[in-house]
Amino acid sequence: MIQDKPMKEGLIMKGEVVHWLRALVKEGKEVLVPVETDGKVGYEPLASVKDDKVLLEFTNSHRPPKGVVFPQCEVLLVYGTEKDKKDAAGKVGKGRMKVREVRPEMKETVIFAIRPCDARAVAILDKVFSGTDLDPYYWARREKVILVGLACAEPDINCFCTSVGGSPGGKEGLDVLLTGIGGGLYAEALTKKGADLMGSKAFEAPGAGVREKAGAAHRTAAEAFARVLKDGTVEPKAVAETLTGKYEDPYWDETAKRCIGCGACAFLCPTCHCFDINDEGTKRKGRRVRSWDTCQFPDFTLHTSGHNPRPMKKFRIRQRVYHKFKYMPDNIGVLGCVGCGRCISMCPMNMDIFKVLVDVKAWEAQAKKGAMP
Amino acid sequence: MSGARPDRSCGNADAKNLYLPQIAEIINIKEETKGARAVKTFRFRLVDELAQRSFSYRAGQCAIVSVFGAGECMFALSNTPMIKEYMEVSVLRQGRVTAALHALQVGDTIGVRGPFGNGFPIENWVGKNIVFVGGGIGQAPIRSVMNTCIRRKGDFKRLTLIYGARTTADLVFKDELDQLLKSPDIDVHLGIDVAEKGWPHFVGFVPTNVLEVKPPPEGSIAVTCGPPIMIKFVIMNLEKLGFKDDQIFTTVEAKMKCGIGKCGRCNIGGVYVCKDGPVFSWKQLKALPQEY
Amino acid sequence: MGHHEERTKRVREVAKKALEDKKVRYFIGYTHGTYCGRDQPVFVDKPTDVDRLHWGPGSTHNLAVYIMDDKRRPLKKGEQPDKRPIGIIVKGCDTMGLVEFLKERIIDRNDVFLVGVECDGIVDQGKLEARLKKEKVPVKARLDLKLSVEGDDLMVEYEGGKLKVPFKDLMLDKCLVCDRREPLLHDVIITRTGELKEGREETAKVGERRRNGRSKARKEEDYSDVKAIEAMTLDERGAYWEKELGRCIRCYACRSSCPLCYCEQCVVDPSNLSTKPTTAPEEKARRAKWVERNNDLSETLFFHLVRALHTAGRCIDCGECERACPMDIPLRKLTRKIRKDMKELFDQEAGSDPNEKPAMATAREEDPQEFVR
Repeated sequence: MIQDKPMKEGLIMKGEVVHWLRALVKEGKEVLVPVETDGKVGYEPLASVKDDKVLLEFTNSHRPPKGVVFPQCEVLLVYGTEKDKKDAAGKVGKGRMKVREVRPEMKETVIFAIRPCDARAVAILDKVFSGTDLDPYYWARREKVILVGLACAEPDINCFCTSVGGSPGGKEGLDVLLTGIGGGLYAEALTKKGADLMGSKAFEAPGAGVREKAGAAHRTAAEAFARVLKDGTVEPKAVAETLTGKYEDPYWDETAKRCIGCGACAFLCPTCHCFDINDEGTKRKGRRVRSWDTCQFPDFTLHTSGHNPRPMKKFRIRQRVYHKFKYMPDNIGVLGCVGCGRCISMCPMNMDIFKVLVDVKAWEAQAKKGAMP
Repeated sequence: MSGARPDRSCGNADAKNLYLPQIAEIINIKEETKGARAVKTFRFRLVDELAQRSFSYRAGQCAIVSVFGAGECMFALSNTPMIKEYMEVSVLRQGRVTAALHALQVGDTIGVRGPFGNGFPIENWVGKNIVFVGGGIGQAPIRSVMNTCIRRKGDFKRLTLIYGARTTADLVFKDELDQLLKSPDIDVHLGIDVAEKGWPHFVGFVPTNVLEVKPPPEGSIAVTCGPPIMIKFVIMNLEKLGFKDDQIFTTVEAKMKCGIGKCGRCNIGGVYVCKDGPVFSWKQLKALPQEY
Repeated sequence: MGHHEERTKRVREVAKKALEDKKVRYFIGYTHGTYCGRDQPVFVDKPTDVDRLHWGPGSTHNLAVYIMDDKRRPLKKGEQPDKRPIGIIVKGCDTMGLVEFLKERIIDRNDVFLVGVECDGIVDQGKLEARLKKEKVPVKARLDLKLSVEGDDLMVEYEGGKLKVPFKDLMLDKCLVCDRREPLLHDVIITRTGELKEGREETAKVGERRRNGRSKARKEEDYSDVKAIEAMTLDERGAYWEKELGRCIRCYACRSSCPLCYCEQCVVDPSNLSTKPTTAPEEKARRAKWVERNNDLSETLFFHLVRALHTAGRCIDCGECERACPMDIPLRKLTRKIRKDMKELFDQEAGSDPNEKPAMATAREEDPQEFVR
């Protein structure tokens, strides 16, 4: 439902979009746009893309653009000993070990046509990487990123954002939301950063009723979903409560049987953020790197002593579901899933988190029935 | 919430980088035990004197030590935080990083991040009896809180230590234990699993010794650290003696990397051992999934 | 009635009898998946559950991947080891992997009860979904598909319509050049007309059978995909692999999905599952780290090239690695190059004779020795 009057709104013809974006590049910004390569959509720098390759119609990118704010691997610091020095008396003093932070440097980067689910995921990552112990590497990148969302016109087969509180026209995390209306895109600025992007003359005032048409377009897209929870959406508090007390349910063992621990789900998930830290180098010189990791790998919790708190698949599958649908809601008040469906599409053994949610909702319904007098 | 950004006070890229270690120099190394279960206590101080003076922590908190090139490990700071001139960690040689650490000499450099974790809630224990139950290398975090309590004598009532190891060769902090045996500030009950010639103290497992010593639960707190199997039975026996689950505290070990609750590795239930632990009461631990 | 229904009936009959007679601990087979007509692996241990089993054009997975998990499962306290085999539904290609298991003595023939099903080819889910998108079949209709084969055509029934496509247009690439549609190892064979032939293969004669009776379709393996790359110049090849392997996100799905990648201590996988509580500290301290976790191109190339070389003489080209890869890296081209080399250099073909010694553990006088100068 359209509520308040937006900060700034406009209408840009589809044919003008690329010119607008190229002007942003001229201003010194990096602009990432969706392009199709070998049948898969990915975000590429506009500077290396021809005008007619910029997509305005696609379901979703193969990989979420989370790599822009949280790359697969990044150097945290470099360390090195200074050369051993001789002092005035000719005595050789050991060179001091020095550690230098490697702060990521990025141009202002516009991710154009990010989908509402992926933008919502970035908002979730924002919460994860903040707090009293905030992550400066994440923020050095995040501060430079501007998200221009493109509302979805049609869902992919495994999309289920509407079942987890999202929407094809969702605004969370975005600086601008664009919605296709006929030959143009209705643009709504959601932050000052977004409003500043819309200064171009390409944006005309939208006519009467355009905003309402955009809302209607979002609802139409939502109605086309194949995967919708019949018993209502998954709410953070409710699902966290339902899962408490289901830890030891044999359901997790059954569900986990066909998982092969490949990690594809986590690596393509827009909200997954576990990582490993390793030193690469010698004891005198090297770098410390962090890289994506996943609780689905059997060695994730393996102690050096050989003890593994999660030795079996059922513990790891349970952890994935619980982390996303209980621990994150309990700790930071949001679900750890935006319903993009990539984990379902990517899994070679057809593990299906939507099916898990169907079953969890059934537990919820049972509990309600039991609680009724 | 549109354009959701946390408030500027925490989304600030200029805030302190908790991934960056400070440089420290090893000033003393003590071999506590040798052989397959070799333990060494490393005494170190930050190279930056001001940083060292202002490094403050609570007993039970941990530090992540970098052995550059090998990696990082989280260790409990085993000396009492009331000593300001240096920090100590007591390390069992287990894998790549601890082996590299054991190979270092006095004067060598390590990295230090921290302090991390919650530490023991000592202020809530003022006026109570405290029973420390340690096994093997688990004595390291206990040493920190125990020595703090001893130094703050008068704040607590009766202090008791029940400590055991597999053999006399596996006992750590032996010289300190010998001193404590003579000390009026704490009742010390040592034990080893299997009898050895000349051993005058208890022979048997630590949990059994707990039943032998029979610490009274009224007005008492129990702190236990050691191998998981020992902790399990110590807690069982403490409960047999009448201790309630909020009177028993332990530390949880977990594989850790970032130390600040971001990388996910030490996530158990809703907590991160590095941030919300490693100290947990038995009451809190019971509520977590048994994944530790 | 398509022959898949017949084969499904037989699979259920065989499983029911084996479970009722308590001849096997449980069955690993295929059941209907959650979207787009795909199957998923299923574990059935009660004779009353056999109706979950089925066999059809979606029965893609190489179920042998679950064998090592089963072998390595630690016994619960007081549990006596159960010497009965596990039942597995296998296709011709899958049995070739089991031939390698026997060669390497990683399983005993009596550890598995093989229900070999004669196969006409398996649907490529990616090709199917692309076709449905092209035909503008809405996602809602695509959710519950029914796939069946009629002659040379694949029938795709969806909500509100159906499609008839030449099966070869939607088949997995590996099936188009398949020469192993009949299972080499079996305790029971279910023929393509649904006939049941009981009896174990003559394990001693498997190699001979394979050599004499390859599918009428092909007498020699078709390596035209590999030859296309061999025909490139070195620079072209370098550019090709940099582009393809550069996408790798080091999720190790290829390793997890390969039944033959069962090593607990893997040269190219930095995680170390062979750490047990009894592993000595010295051993743990000295373990070499051959490859880092970051996805710099040099590390990634090392990972893939060394892994491919480790498949020499073992990989039977089931294709699960490529199917599992979330980044669509053409992994089969690498492994098939190694297969082609093994044939040309040593006249060896993995998966064809369980009585052979493992190829890389054998040296013969006539082996090529150009490297000896």
